Amino acid sequence: MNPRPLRLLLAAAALTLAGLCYADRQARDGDMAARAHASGQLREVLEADAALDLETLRVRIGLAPHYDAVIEAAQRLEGALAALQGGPVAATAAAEPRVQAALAALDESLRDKVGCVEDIKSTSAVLRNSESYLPAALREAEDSAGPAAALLGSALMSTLLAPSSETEDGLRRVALDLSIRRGSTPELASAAVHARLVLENRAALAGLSARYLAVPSRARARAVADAYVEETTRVDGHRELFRLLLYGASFALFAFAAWTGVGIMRLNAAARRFVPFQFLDLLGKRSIAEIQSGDSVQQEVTVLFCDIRGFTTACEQRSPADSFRFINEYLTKMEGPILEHRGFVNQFLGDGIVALFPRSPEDAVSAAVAMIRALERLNASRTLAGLDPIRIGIGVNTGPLILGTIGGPDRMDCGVIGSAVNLAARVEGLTRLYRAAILITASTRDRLQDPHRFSLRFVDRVRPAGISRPITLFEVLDAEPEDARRAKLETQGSLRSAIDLYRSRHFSAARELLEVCLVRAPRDGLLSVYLDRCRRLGENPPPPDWDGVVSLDMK
Amino acid sequence: MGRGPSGFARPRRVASARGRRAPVASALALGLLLGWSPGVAGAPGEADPIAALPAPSDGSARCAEQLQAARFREGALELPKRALAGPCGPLVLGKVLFHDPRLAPATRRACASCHPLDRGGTDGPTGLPGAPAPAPEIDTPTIFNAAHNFRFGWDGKSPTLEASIDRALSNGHVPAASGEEPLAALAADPAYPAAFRQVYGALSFAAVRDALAAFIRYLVPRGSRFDRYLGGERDVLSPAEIEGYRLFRVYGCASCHQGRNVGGNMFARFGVVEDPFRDRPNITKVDLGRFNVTGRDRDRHVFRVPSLRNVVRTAPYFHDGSAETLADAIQVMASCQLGRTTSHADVEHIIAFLGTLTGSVPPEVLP
Repeated sequence: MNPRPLRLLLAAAALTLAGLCYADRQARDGDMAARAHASGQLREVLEADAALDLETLRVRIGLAPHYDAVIEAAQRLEGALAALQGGPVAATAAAEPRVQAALAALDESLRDKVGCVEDIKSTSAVLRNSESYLPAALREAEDSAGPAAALLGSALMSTLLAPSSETEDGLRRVALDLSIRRGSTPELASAAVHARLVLENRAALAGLSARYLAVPSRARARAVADAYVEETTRVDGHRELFRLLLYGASFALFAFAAWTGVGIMRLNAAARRFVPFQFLDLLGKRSIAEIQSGDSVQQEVTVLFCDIRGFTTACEQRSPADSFRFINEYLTKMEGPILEHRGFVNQFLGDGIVALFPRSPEDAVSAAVAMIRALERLNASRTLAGLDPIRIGIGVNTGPLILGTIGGPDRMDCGVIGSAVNLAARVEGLTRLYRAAILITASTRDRLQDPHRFSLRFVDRVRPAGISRPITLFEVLDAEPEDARRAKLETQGSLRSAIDLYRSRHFSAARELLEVCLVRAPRDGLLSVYLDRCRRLGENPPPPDWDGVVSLDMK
Repeated sequence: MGRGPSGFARPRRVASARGRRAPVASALALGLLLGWSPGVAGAPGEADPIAALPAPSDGSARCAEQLQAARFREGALELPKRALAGPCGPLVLGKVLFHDPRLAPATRRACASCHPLDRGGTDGPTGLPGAPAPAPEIDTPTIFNAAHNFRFGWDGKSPTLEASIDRALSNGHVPAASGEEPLAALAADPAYPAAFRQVYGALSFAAVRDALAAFIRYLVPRGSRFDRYLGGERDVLSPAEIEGYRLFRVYGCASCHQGRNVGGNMFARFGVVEDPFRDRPNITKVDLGRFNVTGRDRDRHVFRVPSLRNVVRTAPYFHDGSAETLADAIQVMASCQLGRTTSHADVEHIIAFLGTLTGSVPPEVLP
């Protein structure tokens, strides 16, 4: 799939989900705030209601000297109710008949209650006044109407002070008596009126109190709360479902992105195996995705070419699967030293390896040495398994290279162009001729920061086919077994002299010197090469313009 | 208007220092049960039934200054332009509106026509709002201290001051049925729209009502000698006045005329003991009182208990202005409400006490 529309689609989906999550969160916050507000308002109604009860009770039992507190409580209740009717509960009620009915019932009972308080206030005022005046009125009546009235008065007083169901009848009788004698004196008439007022208003107050207490304001406030909570819970159910879907979709998107991401990461890692990241570094790219056809860079690079001697023959004796297993085992072993020495494998050519060392020639030489040692370990295990040891040759050359992408927009490869690569391959081919493990060119040797770090030995000056200028080859001895290396180093001076004699056409003298060297280092292949040449040239002397440089026709 | 600590805690403490009677213990126990601290709970009858007015609110000095600046003595039509020239707020607007007859284009009567601020805030008996002619007369309630009443009007029809302003602006009292008519008249005067824009953002009926309410809430005479007495200045009342206060309580006047407005916080039937309407040849609609609002039989002749603050300046008395003098009113009250006869001396003492309830009208509210 084309990645751009997919990426846009994913981004759009993520944005949509994020927006929905945010909106859901906002809505939930809003809901929570509204509910907190509603619960605060309902609580305020309940508290104001309780406060009104308290103040009304104080009026009822005569604790309150005036009604300011009860008026304030009633106003608070009315305010709380008004706030409730302008708040979130009322907003819910507009859509929900049950909440609306509960709210209307609460409103009605609270208004009843406040109206009832008015009656309690005026009844209490009259009652209190009559109760406080009655003793004085009776005293005055006693003065004017004599002991009969006094007797009635004391009976009245005792009844009034200790009202109970038994004395209620007595009280009524006394009051009746007083009302019969009403006309006798004004004082008696007044006392009778106040006694009647006390009776009436006590009864009225008892009735009012009962009515007041019977108003189911608390229960109705709770009913409003219950209805509201039920409604909001129902809404919550829908929200919960929506949220579940939202979270599910978010999770699915995340899982898809993670799955895709892991796939892409694996693909990247795989691509890195085909296109070394060092190559990308050299090209100045961060990702393989940025590479375009034609990207290239020119740089001086040391090229290491490595090949198995006689591999083709070896393959013919094996099954293809065995060959593959072997070659992979071998390449794995060889790649380690290359990577360790800051190089990378640019290309595998069958059993051949083209490795690049962009940093310094030392890396390439060290890697070559390490590869030979690794091969020795591989051979040791092969010997144990009864297999033939394998032999490789390594050629190293340094020179300017162009690294770049080769191919069209649809099929690309990264490759290197430059004679340095060819030369390295040629040098590798020469290891067979000179029976050396590692050969490096002069261009590599000259660029070594410390040439004495490695044990190097001059090999020859050759002119490979297709290359005009002769090149100088050196053998790296560091990977040789200790005794062979020492022997080669000890005979190095003599060899050098023999080569000088050889190049100045003193073949027999060179042969003698080489024979001496051969006694000291009998397995030195280079000595055999020169002895061979001296023998051949001694029999067929070279033309006069012979300069000692070997022209090689073979590849 | 929370029940501030300065409200009536102090008088009660003074009262309780005068000694307690035996039954107080049970009341105290009950008080404790109800969650009241013993220091606050007083026995019935011991506490002063009338509380001191709360202290003037903060910022009133600046308001007073603005109102003082908005004094006007010129012709009424000149008044907004001049009065609104200075610093303006709801109070100043309210004051100007209160005196502007254009609020009632039909009758050309301002609020101040019936509630003259230099004459006790009342013009006495006038036609009942909206009643057919010949209008039965109703005594205009004083505008002073009106904001502290628990309901508004003799029948207590309006539960809030704003509702009562609506009622006044929308009935025959001041015929401006919808509020559109006065608004049009106000808008015609360039001074008003500018001032309303500055204070309320726009000229609207709600803004007019709010300004009037703000001004009426300001119309609270302060510093009456009785308030100072409750505040602890024992010497500001003469012995006769103190005796009047004692009689006021002993007779039972304070059963209804109580609280910080000395009345105005409850309904009561006119004629608890004797029916004052018994011998009347014709009972008018006004006499029915709260019955006109509720239609319940037990509200017949029930009125809002009027405040007695400034009472000596608001003659005549009662809903119909039937008592010409305070002495008449006291005697009618004693017989009809309390079932008492009063001696001439007691009436004089009570009148002396009622005189101490007169506060000083803030001069800046006057036109």
